[in-house]
Amino acid sequence: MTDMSTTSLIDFFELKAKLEDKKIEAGLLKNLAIEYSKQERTLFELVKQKNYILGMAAHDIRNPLASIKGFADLLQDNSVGELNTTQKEFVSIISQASEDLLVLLNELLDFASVSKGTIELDLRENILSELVLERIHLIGPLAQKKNIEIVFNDFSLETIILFDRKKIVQVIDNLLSNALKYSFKKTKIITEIFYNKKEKFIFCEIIDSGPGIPKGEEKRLFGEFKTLNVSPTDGEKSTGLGLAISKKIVEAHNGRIYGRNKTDHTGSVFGFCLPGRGN
Amino acid sequence: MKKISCIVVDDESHIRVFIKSVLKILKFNVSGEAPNGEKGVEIFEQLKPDLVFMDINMPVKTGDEALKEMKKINPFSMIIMLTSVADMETVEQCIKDGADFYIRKDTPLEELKSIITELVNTRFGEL
Repeated sequence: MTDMSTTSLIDFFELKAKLEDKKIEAGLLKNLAIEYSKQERTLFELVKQKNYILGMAAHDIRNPLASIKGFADLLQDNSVGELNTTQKEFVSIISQASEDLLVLLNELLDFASVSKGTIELDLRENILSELVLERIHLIGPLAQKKNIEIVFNDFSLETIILFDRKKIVQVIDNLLSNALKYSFKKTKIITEIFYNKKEKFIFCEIIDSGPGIPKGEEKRLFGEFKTLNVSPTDGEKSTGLGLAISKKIVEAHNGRIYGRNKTDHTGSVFGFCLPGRGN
Repeated sequence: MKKISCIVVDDESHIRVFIKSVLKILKFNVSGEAPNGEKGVEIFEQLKPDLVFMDINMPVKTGDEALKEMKKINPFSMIIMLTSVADMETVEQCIKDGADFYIRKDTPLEELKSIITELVNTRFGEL
């Protein structure tokens, strides 16, 4: 009898101790959750501030840079007097360098803008294939410089869907200019638009003839400031922001963006898809 | 033929010099310049220009405020807003308030020259 009482008492105290431990654990967990939520809020505010500063800096640098480029071009076109050969070469370098910086700044501004939070979309009825064809025409002179032919195949039957034209222009231009940058001279870029009835999504795929995506780097493609271990084929510049911006824009449309190597490893396929009507 | 008279209003002196240089190449008469909207309205009243190139984001008085005052003084003057990416939200309002056109400051030189020439030809006839 005495033994049983002692055992029950021990059980009781053990149980009590366990309960105390659980209480302490619960308290610790609660404190951790509060701390995590505080840190998350701080991080969110810091990202907001970073994007604001990025946007401001890019904007304040942009106008003087536009002037530098403008003056260099004025000197280049001889409207204020003839330059000698060396002067022409130097001015051409100033013009090209400032142009490259302007492209970088514009991408920083775009990135800061799409990273602010929810992207506001001006959704209207559009035909994706028409827009892609328009952008191919505009990029034509750049393709000619590298002797690259851009083939356009439309299998979408001009399906009308809702998207923000200006923002999707950014995505198409980014994918097309990447395809040009990374394609070898005298090759072909194939652009295909098609409708996937099962998924109810319109796809736009751009197939280049470049070195492809290096092994193991597929996951880094759409990260911020990620340039790959592969270079443009004619010394073109790459900021590593274009695909990150495109991803945010496509995802804001509830779409998907992707990149993969061609099965025969003779280039890569980059594409995006947007929801069709009734999806 | 009378030369088209212009003024340039921008708080950044390098932009004023650049736009003035382009206008001179296009054989326009640049009659004045101002570093803010307030001075801009003053010289607008004095010089009665045919054409105004004006920035939006300026100290003392912004371009969108100056635009409304200029349009009250002379609704027939052609006012072109000089903009940057960050001003794009205000641009639409400026067009509603009577601005005739807008040009981004980073527009390449040749494009800039042809836009200005086309706008002026449309408004004032072939030069």
